[in-house]
Amino acid sequence: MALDNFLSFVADFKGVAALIAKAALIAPFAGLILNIGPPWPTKTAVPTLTALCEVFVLIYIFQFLAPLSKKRLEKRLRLFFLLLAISFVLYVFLYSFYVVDIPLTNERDVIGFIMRPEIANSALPGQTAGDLLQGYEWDPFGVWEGWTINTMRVSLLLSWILFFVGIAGCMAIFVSLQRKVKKTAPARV
Amino acid sequence: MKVIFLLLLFALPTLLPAVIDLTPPSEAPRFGVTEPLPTGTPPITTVNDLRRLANSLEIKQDVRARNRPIMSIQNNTLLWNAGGLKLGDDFIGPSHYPLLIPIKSILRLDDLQQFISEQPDVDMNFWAPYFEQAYAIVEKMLLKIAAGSSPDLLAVLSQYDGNAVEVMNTAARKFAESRGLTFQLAPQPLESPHTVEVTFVKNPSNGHLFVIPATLFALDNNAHFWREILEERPRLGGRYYYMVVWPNGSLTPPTPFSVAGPAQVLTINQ
Repeated sequence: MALDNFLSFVADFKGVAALIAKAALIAPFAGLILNIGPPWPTKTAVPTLTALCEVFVLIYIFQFLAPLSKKRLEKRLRLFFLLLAISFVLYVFLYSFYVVDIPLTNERDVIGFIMRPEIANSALPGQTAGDLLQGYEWDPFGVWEGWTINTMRVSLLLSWILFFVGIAGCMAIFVSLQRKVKKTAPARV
Repeated sequence: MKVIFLLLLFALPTLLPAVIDLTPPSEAPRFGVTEPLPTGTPPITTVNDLRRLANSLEIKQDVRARNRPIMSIQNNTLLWNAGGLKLGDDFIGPSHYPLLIPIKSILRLDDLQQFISEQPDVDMNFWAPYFEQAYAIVEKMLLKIAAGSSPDLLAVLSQYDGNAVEVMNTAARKFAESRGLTFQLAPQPLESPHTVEVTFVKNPSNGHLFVIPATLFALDNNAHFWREILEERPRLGGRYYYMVVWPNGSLTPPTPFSVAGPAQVLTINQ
């Protein structure tokens, strides 16, 4: 039954909701073109991982949540929407504070939040973190403590994936709700 | 069904790295030495004693593995790098323990010798004289340290270290010639990920060029962060200072420069 739900959802080319959900699955790959995804682990690994997580969320929802009552589905929809909103805000914040552009190679990298003590002590007044990074061959591990960089890398990746998980979750539950409405709607005379 | 689904969900993180390369970009190793070096002991003057000391130190295996030498033949080209490792930091670094520089040299040479001996169809008799020459340079470093501290000690040791690498690079060039291959120096395993090739033109050409990243130049003990540029087109990125020691002994003092883009050419006149 759940598999039928999932397959009919995937195969339904006419349904607007299904089309939007498919767009949600492809959306992480737009990050490749727009260059807005997390820089770590790699440009191609991020959308692949994200899309995989979305597929699993869809499978999970059609298997375990679709049979729930309309009221309980609406509650789940609110929760997924909350996840979407929180992870989006978190991602935007983390991105603006901890992702830097490397103009030399047109790439981006993640920085940390605790500077190595010897670098912090030697910083001249008015010298920004960007100046220190540029003066260390654009190598964040030379300027910040390694564990803080790794923490930010993971946080950025998780908030990005959770954002798309939120989108996929909202769409799948919305589709399930619409189907329930159709089933329960009285036949027209 | 639920159990299978949950198992699959938990197995995913284990299976995914096999499909997608999730390994982090290579990073320059730090704090290669995890035990303080002995002090107050008689000076080490032989390569064998130095090797014994180097092997008794807890050098992280992954550090040595990550900077393995490169010797591969692809499309009639010998891709080569003598390998190496970065030892110490400004807390436990060559400025406090100059002996770290010959330790680095001997570990590199020993690793390289081992690596070459493991290659198929390699005649070690060809390589032996070059290794002998490189080990002799390491011995010179030890004698220089034993002779006592001098203001130019670190610069001289770094130069000797560079010379030992150059001996092995020459050996690889001759090896490539003898087999009709084109020699190509492989990218340095220790470089930062965001770098581009830069060309330095020196007038006269036989000056010794040293560079240091600008952030490290600001440190009090920056002597051991200067590195001599021996490659034709080193990979650099960001802001640096350069310094040149000319053949007649004159010096171009530390001068700032920025790497603005790929294929940049910097001309330095005496």
